[in-house]
Amino acid sequence: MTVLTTIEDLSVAFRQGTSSVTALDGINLTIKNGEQLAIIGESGSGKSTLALTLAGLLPASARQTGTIDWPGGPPIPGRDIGMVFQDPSASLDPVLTIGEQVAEGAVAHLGLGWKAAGLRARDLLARVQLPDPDSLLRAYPHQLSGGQRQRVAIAAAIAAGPRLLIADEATSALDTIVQAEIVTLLRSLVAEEGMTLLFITHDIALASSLADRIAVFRQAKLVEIGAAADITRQPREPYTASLLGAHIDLTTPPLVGARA
Amino acid sequence: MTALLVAEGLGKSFRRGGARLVAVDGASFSVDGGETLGIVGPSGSGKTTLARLIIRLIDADTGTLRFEGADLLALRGKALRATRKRIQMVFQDPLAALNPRASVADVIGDPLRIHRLADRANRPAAVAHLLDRVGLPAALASRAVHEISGGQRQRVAIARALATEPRLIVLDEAVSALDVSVRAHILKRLVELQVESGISYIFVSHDIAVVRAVAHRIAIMDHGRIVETGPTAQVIAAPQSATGKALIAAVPRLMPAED
Repeated sequence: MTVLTTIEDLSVAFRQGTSSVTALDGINLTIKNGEQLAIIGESGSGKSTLALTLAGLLPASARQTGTIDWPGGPPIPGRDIGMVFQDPSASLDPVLTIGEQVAEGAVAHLGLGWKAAGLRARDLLARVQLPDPDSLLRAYPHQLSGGQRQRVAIAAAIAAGPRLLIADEATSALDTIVQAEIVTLLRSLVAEEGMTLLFITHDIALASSLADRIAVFRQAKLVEIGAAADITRQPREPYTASLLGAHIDLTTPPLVGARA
Repeated sequence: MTALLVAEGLGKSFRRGGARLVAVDGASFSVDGGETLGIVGPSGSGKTTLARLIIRLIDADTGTLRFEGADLLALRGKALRATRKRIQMVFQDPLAALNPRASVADVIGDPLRIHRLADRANRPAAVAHLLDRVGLPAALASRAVHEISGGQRQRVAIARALATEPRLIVLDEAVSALDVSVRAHILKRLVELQVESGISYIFVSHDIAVVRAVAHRIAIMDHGRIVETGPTAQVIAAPQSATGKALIAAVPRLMPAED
């Protein structure tokens, strides 16, 4: 596999009052073209800061050191990197139609006119398996459910054909049934388009169900990285083992027994 | 075992534009003393509306609700306030549920003051005791809600709920926003508190795996209706409803261990 990006000794700090908070501390990470890499971690681990850094979305006040090398040339955010956030209600503009928001990336980055971009938007809405894409083009976000809105956000993120799709807790605000549907959609989209997927989540089981490799972050540091199967079966770090231990699924021993 | 809470045919609809949206449609269930009933369903299934009906944050359109034998829906004024002491609720986001600028001592002390459970002199000791019950140090009492971590905040919300020594706590997605390690500790503590005091819980969540860990019985909701009820092990092993099957199939699985 060829290299998409090589991150060396990346640190990011945010100013907070007179002091500064380190959000990423000396991160070394290589992301390969076409791989599905999951970043897992708890609150304050730095996983979302990594996403914002790669997407070029850090606020101007953030202090960034280290290097991020892109062998294929520096990416243009929105064209080469698409991003899906946790809350589709916040990432979609409530007063623009679905069609305008999905077409916007194609107009801005592919040089399409609005009419051609509108046709592309309709195709993209069909790609993300939304019903009746033609009438959806004229709908507004508030008319859709949370899961449908997240599908629209995904369509907008891939509108310009990015090399890298970053999904930052993109299923965390959805119920488990819709979450499973979105994960299935992401899996088929990245496979068909040959995109690289960076999937950021707090859920280690979700990570293992989607990703080739898992990187574990804790308190601004990269704790360990490896094949998803190795991380979940033979974690090297006690912290990873503790995350696995705290995970609750249908095989976890229940905390209460049956009542007479 | 006598039932603590019995709901029969509970219904609630809301006006939305010109249409009526039926949020809860004929829900019947019961909760015994010392028991946890899990209520699971997808988004929009009506589980939060049902939780709000139970603590009478909103009034039901139809049906009956009996708590400790009394008609809960008929209570007004003083009698309702007295019963409210015995049913408490914990919400998903403690930062939204609690005043962020209040001190932990005030957040936990308020119900003690309002219900006259501890006078001013005895309140610090009562607050310290409640903090201890949820596994927090007494020193936290002087901190403001916004200064402490999300997990600590949710423990404070539970301590506040425990302050009035309720018989029932309704937990609406109360651990859904927490980190997994914090979530595991809080679930364990909730179960310990139940064993110690015989309190009952209604545990509302979209995540059937988490509900399975703490609930004795599960009720599955969809489109405002309870579509399936049964002992936890039975519902998980052999779900009868389509919604139950879908909820179970959607639980992310860790990669199966190599044989």
